[in-house]
Formats: sequence, C-alpha cells, structure tokens
Amino acid sequence: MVTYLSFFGEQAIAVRDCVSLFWRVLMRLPLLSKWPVRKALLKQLYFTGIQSVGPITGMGFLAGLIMVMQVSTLVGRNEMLTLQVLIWTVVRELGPLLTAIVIVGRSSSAIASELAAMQVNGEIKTLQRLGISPVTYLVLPRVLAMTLTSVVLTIYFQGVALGTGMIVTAWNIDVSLLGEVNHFFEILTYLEISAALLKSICFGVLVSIVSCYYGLTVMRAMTEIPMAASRAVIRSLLVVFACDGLITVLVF
Amino acid sequence: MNLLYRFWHTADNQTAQSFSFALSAGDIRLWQMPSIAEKMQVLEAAIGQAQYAGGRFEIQQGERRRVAIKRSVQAERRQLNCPPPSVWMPVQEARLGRVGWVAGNGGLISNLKVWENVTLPLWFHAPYETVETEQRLRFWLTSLGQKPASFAELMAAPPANLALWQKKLVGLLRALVQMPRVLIIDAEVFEAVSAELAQHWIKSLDTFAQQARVVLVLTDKATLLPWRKIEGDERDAISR
Repeated sequence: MVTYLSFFGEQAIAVRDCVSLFWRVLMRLPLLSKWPVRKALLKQLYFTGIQSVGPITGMGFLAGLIMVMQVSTLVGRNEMLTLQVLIWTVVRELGPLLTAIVIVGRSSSAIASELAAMQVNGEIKTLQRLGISPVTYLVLPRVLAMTLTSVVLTIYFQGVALGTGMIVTAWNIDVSLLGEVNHFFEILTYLEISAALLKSICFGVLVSIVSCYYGLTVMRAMTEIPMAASRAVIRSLLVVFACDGLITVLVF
Repeated sequence: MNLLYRFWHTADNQTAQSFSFALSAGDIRLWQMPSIAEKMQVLEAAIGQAQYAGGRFEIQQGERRRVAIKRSVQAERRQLNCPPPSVWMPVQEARLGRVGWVAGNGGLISNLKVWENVTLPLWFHAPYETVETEQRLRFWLTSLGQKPASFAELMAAPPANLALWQKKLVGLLRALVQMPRVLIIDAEVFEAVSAELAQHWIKSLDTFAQQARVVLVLTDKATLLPWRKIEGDERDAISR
C-alpha cells in the first residue's frame, strides 16, 4: 500500500514539475531573440524534423497502403466508404499518433540522454555559472522544435498516407484519382483538421517536456543516463496515448 | 579609487574568512581558501549563483545612481557601516554577464565546438557582430600565446579532441572574449600547463584588468601565482 502511495506521489510530483517546466518555457519565449537560442532551435529542428522525414515517409506510405487494402476487403468496391474510413483513421488518429511515436522513438531518448549526460558531466551547472539558464538555452529550443516538427510531420504523414491510399484505391477499384481527391475535400471537415492539429501540438509539447524533464532530473551517476532515456520514452508514449484518448473523447 | 567589486563579511561566527575586501578597476587578487569545498562554495557565491554564509558579494552598478533598496537591507548596511548603497548591488541581482567565470578544467560544453563554446556566453548576453567577435578572439588568442595559424583548427575542434591545457585555454579565452567587469578564476586553471604558457596567461589577465576590470583568483592551496593575496580585513579600503 505504502509502495503504491509512494509511486503515485512520485508521479504527482513529476506532473507538477512538468507543468512548472512548461510554464517557465512559455515565460522565456521572448528570449528566442538571442542568437544562441535560435541556433539551438535550428539544430533541433534539423535533428527532430529533417532527419525524421525518411521514416515518416515510409510509415505514411505503408499506413496508407495497409489501410486501403484492409478497408477494401471489408467494404468491397465502395470508393466513398473507403475514403471515409481513410479520413477517420489517418486524419483523426494515425497521423498525429504515428508521427508522435516516430518522434518519441527518434528524439525523446536522444534528448533525455543528452541532457542527462550534460547534467552528470556538470555542464548544466557550467551553463548556470555562465549566467545562461538551462531552461532558456536547452529546454525552450527543444520544446519549440518538437512542437513545430510534430505539426509539420503530422501534416506530411497525412499527405503521404492519404495520397498512397487514394492512388491505391483508384488503381484497385478503377476510379478517377481526381474525382477521389474532390470527394476527399467534400468529406473532410474542419473539426477533423482542428482535432488533428490540436493533437499534434499537444503531442509535441508533451513529448518534449517529458523528455527534457527526465533528462534534467538525473543526479550525478552515469548509470542514470540510460534509465532517464528509457523513462522518457515510456512516459512520453504514455502521455501521448492518454492525451490522444482525452482529445478524442472530448472532440468526437 | 574606482571600486568595482567587494565582499562583506556578514557572518556572526569567526570563520577563517572573517574579513571584507574591495577590488578596484585594474586589480587582480588572490584569495586562498582552506579547502576545495570552501573554494567552490565561495566561487558559487562570487558569481552570483548561491548565497554564502560567510558574507555577501556586491558589484558596482556603474552610472546607476538610484537603486531601490529594501528597508531591511538598508538597516543591515547601516549596521555594517557600509558606504552609501546607491551604486552597489548583490551579485545575484546584477545583470547577467557582468561577472565572468573560468573553471579549473575549462568548463566546456561537450556537444558544442570550441567556436560555439567561446561565443555562447558572449552572444547570449549581448548581440555582437561576428567580425567584432573574431577581432576580439584573435586579440586574446594571440595574447594567450597561440599562433594565428592554429586558430581555425582550434575553433573547429570539439572539446573531446582537446588536451587538458587546451580546454583550460578555451575556458580562459571564453571569459576574456566576453569582457565581464569582474572575472572569477579557479586557480586550478594554471596547474598542469607549461611555465611559458602560464606566463602568457598571467600577462593576458594583466592586460584584461588594465581595461577597467577586476580579477579574483580563488585557490585552495599555496600557489606561486604573482598576484597579491587577500589577507586580513581590508574593510578600511572599502570605506575609502
């Protein structure tokens, strides 16, 4: 009983600290005018964004292909229903979720272990002694880059998956691709676009804050670095799914 | 006398460092601590990162004539016979970047190249053109005893590829390029470097101090460094 209580107590403290960290990041947004912070942002955008384009393209293509093949076997040669299911799954759920999973897999552990290594080597302390806030220089660019990346990559994933899905459908049931694109825009609603956008923003913020938090909370032992990375990945996935469920329940 | 930085002993108990002192523009002074732990504690306080039970570090605010000061602080100052408080401020409250710091091992950030390490505090605290930064860099690198031909290679190197003396050199260079009004140095930086190089560094710090700056060197052991030690109470010097 005491163990459970202590576990929940620790989780509550982590949630409180993450909220506090996010608040401090928001307060420091104007400091983005400083060149070293902007440079760190650009580096992070390259690492989290540009380098993720390949995996996202592959996953988008496969997700679109698999979805359409599965739906076709279920609904037969029904173009409109296939398209509807494709929008429901790719735009509402798979787009933001799979993009977040790719970001968690690629960047969450990297960020957590990088920050943890800096903490263990005393480099966070060095920054503070130089009058540089670690939240401004390390956390702010990462949160901003991951949030922007999450939004852009989600849109890209959806584009690739939907494009693949429509091409395969057009080829499979012999309908015009242009007509399919027209139908797609007729079916797609602003609510679905907004929900996907909201999800991608929330996932980006949550994953980056959780990763930075677990990276910065290590003490002085080298053995804590892999633990921080694994904790960051697991907790990030957990909060992403929880947030996805919450937004889905609230919006749809 | 242009005082820039001072330490007020405020503790009631008689600690080993139960004295006060002030540094004027151009001063380089050596302060010997009884232990590494005490040195690190004082270093943290001297750069404004922590409170020190033994006393308070203050920095002069230059042209600032009127500073809002709490009544409790005013009373404390009166009790300590401090000079007029209007232009002095606790280091913790001073504008960031006014107090520089050189770590014993250079204190470099491992995932930044040397150029990024050197320009990080400079560009973080104030906007500088790249040309001006490069000029400063060349000046101080030459002053620190480096040949111009080696500049580019050094700047492009990651810290992991540097020898310990090079890491110390970059740490010192980073602080000098930033040109803070007060520079706090861990004397360990002069250990394990050749005598010739150490001489260059000592001369560079003299040049730095002559530009209306002060340097406080903290050590925890007896040293051959040429600067005058802070010994005994120098409270009179502060009041002058």
